[in-house]
Amino acid sequence: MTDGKQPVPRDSRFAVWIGATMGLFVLALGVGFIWLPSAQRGADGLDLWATICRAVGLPNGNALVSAPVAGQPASQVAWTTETRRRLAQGDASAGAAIVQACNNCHGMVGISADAIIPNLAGQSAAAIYKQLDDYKSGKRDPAVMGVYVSPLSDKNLLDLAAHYALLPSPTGDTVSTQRSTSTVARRLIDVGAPLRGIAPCSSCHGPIGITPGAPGLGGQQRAYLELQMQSFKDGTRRNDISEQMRSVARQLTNEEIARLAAHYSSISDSGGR
Amino acid sequence: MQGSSRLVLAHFWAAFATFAVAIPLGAWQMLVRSPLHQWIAPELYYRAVTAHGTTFAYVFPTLIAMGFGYAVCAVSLGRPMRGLSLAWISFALVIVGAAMALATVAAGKANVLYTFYPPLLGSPYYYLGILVAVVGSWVWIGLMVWHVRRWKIDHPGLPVPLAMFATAVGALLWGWTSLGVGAEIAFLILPNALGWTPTIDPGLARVLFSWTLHAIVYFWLIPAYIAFYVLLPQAAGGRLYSDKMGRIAFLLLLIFSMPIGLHHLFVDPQIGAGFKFLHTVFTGMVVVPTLLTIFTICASLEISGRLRGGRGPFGWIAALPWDRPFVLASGFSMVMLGLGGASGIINMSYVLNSTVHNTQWVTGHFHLIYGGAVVIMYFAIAYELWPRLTGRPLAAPKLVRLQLWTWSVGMLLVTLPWHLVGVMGQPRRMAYYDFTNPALASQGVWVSVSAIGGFVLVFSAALLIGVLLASHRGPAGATSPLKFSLAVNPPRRLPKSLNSFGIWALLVLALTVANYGYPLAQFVFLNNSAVSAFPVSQNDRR
Amino acid sequence: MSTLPHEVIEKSERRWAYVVAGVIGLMFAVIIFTSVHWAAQPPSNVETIDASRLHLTGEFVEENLGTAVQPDGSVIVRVIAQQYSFVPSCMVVPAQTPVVFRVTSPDVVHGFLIMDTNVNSMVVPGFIAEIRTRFEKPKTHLMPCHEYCSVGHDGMWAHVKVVDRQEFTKSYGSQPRASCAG
Repeated sequence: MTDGKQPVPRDSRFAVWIGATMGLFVLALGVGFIWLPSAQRGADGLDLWATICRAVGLPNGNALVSAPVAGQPASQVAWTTETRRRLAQGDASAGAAIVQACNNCHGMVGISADAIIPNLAGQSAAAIYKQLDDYKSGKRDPAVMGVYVSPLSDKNLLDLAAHYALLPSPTGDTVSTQRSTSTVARRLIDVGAPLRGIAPCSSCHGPIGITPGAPGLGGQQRAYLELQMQSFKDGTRRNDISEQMRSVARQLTNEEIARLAAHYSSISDSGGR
Repeated sequence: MQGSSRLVLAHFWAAFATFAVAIPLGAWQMLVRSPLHQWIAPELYYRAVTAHGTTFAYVFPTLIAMGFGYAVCAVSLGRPMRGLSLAWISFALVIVGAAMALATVAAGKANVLYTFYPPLLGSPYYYLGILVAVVGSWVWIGLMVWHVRRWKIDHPGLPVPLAMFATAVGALLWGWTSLGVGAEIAFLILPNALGWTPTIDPGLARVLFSWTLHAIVYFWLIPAYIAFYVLLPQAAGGRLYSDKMGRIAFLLLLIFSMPIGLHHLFVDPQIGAGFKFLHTVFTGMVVVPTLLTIFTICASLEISGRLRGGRGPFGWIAALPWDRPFVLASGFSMVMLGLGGASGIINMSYVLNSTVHNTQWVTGHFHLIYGGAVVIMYFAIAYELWPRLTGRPLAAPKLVRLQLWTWSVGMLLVTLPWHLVGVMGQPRRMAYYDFTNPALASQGVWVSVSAIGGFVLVFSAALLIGVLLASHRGPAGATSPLKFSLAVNPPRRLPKSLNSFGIWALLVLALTVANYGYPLAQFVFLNNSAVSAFPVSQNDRR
Repeated sequence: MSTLPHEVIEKSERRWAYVVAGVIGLMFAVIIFTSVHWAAQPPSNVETIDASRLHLTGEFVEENLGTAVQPDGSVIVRVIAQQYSFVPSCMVVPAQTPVVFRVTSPDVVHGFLIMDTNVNSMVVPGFIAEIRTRFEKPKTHLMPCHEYCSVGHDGMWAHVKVVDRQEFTKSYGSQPRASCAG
């Protein structure tokens, strides 16, 4: 029987444990923030104070950065939140109002009659916008497209992209009748060739994944596809941000490029919308 | 179990139902990435990995911990559990949340893996489901803590029964540590997934996730340790060596499990080495309660062994009643705990982490220690509770032993080669590897061994479910009530430091501020660290 | 259990406590000693960068990627980790030379390890990951991405080609930013 009011022996465990924890903390601070960083002194001319600041994780304006080599960005388009917001505000009907000039080559419903001129129907708005902007800025060879895009404003480009995205993608009878079941192409599309630095095409171009600006490839014109991949491969086309396509295309053989072009042109949709 | 049987059974059955789906998924995953299978298009693989990981991280162990907690509460306090309707609401929330999350994963809309590192983004229903399940489990925390408080008021000055004390420790630990992933989901990911915020800070998200990531495994571990202390000595026919040391071990787990999570971020660029070292030191401290537990439990077993006639320094080991499922499971568990603990010590060793980070060593480690040492104790607990919950004796003791053997052998087959392949440099989380490349060829055979082990585990899992089902439907029989082990010297009085949590909880809070304060606060003034989200689902373009 | 008095239990536990303290202490001693002796520590360099504009301006524009020889003979290798490739996909470095990798991402969390070495780092968008190392022997190493970066993760493998110092100067020394990416 207890009433809880009997004197309890002094419980020193609180003091001991809390004291020991604090002591351990101080010791760990000393070792981790002073002693160990001191061993880093001298690397890159860092003094003790600098290594301590680095150990804390204070943001570092790094002295290592040498003068960067001057160059030209592959594209003026960047996938910032601003760009995504503007893309989302593209007006398809405004785009439809100015698409006349495009239809002459790209077809009345965005499906061209010429194998070297790409289909645009149902294409990802981000992809179309980026290519149009790249033509306008000259990052993609403007020899053919330049004259059409130079009079257009940025809003025009966004609206056109929105317009084409809503058109029905190439289906059934509009794709190449040469059905391809190429295992070479299927393998690259489904699993890529990892140790050659080739991720599965489907992970960027759909259907299993889409990276920003990556165009859908299903039902695209065969000769156009082949030309683009060859152009990435030999570097004549270089508007892909941070060499995303060039580093892949360089590893593809001509045979693989041909098979991929044949395959993609013969299927309806790779999901790149 | 005085009115709580249905509640406890519901939790265990729900847990094993998810287990029954997720284990075959795991075996399939191991098969398709091994040389035994041709490469598959990766999307389905990542769907399976997300489902498997989500189940085993957020659903299965939570249900087991909750169910076992209710059982301990009903038995150890000497009176029926109260608040049953709240407990059922808690259970419903966990089930609803889990179902929402897993259905979303099954539909392919949340291929983000259970670690869901933003800026990868899945469907908001996935994150919402996890959040609902986690918050639902907080009701259980409240019930556990309330019962302890109520008992202490009614029994002033008496020691809280060890089983309940430890259960409350686990509950408090879960409450504190789940705040990390809860905050990450509620304040970072969901607003982004719902379109309310345009960007998300991946560095901050990773630090918040690390807050949860280590202590959550101790939340999983604590039911297994409770079983070691309060069920094993009795099952072996002896006594617990020291009740007091048990309390010390659980309190040390409470204090040191959580403020150590940065050891998951050793090679991350957003944290300085000073904090990485600080967390190394405190991670070293969390090894202490495990070492204490091993001593106490071995000593307890030695009592049983010698009582049964074991002689000499090791003769008592052979004398133990290994035919009893609980003892057998515990033996296996301690072997896997030793191996898994050793690989864990390598993970935490500061610079040494670079050799193993994000290689298959890590995957091997946590499957061995969690899937092996901890989960086999969940089986043991289930086997121990089943007759008391169902009123029927356990079916087929021989099959039970076979199940435990196959689980252990299977787990070792799966995880030991995994460690080796990790040291060879195989990266994590890939659906296929080019084993034809000479640099990778030597990994192939070990990956195949692991894959075969996976199917041994499937067999074992099927045995488990089969035995539990058969036992549930078997003919009713006399079953003895559940009793917890007595200590050699049961404490009559305990100092406040070993019978309460308040001050220790404050210590955890202080350590959290000390160890996580700056690493979190820095994001307030870091520029440029927020980025746009990258939805994984093809249908969710931004 | 009258044969097991309290004092005996406490004494055995105290002895074990010394063993535990010794084990933990030894662990810390080894960790501290190796860190001081080899001047080795995990990455400790918090530097942020605007992830969405990497290609437009600054340190990670396309022309600046690759291996740059510093005035003191060491090299800095600048790499972008993106969905789903490393750029440059084949990095070339001289053996027996201090090498600094500076890696960042324009999109999601990646990571990399260089097989047969201890080079291992996460790459978090918005941050620059910096790893210092040194390769002793000429060899071509595989460099996979080791963190899930969405469905193309399995395809994300690069190469690190370590060449003899003289050969590096001869074959790559004239390029401002060297790579073996072709």
